[in-house]
Amino acid sequence: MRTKDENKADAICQKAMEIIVSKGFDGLSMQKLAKAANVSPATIYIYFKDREDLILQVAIKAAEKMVSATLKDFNPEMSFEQGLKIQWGNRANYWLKNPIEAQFVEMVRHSPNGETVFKMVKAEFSTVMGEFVQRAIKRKELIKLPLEVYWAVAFAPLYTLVKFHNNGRSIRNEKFIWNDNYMKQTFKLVLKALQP
Amino acid sequence: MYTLIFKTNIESEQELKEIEPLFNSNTSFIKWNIDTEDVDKVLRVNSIADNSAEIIATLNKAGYHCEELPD
Repeated sequence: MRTKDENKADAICQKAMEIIVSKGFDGLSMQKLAKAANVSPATIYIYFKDREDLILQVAIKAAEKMVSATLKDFNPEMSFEQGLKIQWGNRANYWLKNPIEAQFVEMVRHSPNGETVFKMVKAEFSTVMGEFVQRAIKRKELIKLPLEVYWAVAFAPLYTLVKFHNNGRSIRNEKFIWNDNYMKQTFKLVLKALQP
Repeated sequence: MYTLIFKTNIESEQELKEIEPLFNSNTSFIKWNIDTEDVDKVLRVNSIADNSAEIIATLNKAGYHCEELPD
């Protein structure tokens, strides 16, 4: 009788993300994954019906984790400054602690499966973030901008710092290690740019 | 519920169609699928009974290879 074991399932999911991040979606086969997770291919099939099902389930789980990490202690009724500060903290924390998982979610976002995954996971997230922005505009704490422009100013600077850190190098190939002061400094400038 | 996992040599659409009626008529199966992209062409069956021997016999009789994939 084959039984399910949550630890085994977690190990399989973790290794699947590692393989996909380093080798791409096509680099993942059940055989390679079994070897990497130190289980038999049969064990993987206990949990997942095929390769596609595995990728989808791992993606949904990871995206849910990312969304809940991003919304931790956040409330759309917060002032713009406080809310954005919490968003930055949560996002930085998530990316720095889970670089593989975060990169995996980004890959899923840009894959054919992306739409399916994020339709299921991100509905609540988009509602909450939308409400936060609308309230901030109404309270005159934020200027009205096209969504893409808002995002490019509000979050892209943070992700650039995260990317430098994950690469270990910044522009001109300089060594770069994360530093909260860099984040604070960047945050202040972003806030200044977005306030009326 | 039992999850039964086998290595087979079923890989083409044609072959899948051929075995479909054999499996769909089995009342103890809840669902089944074959991962034809995998090297082991893994057959996975959710069943209310441990009918591994029956599954292997059915596929062998139809001319296919089928063996339990060990843990």
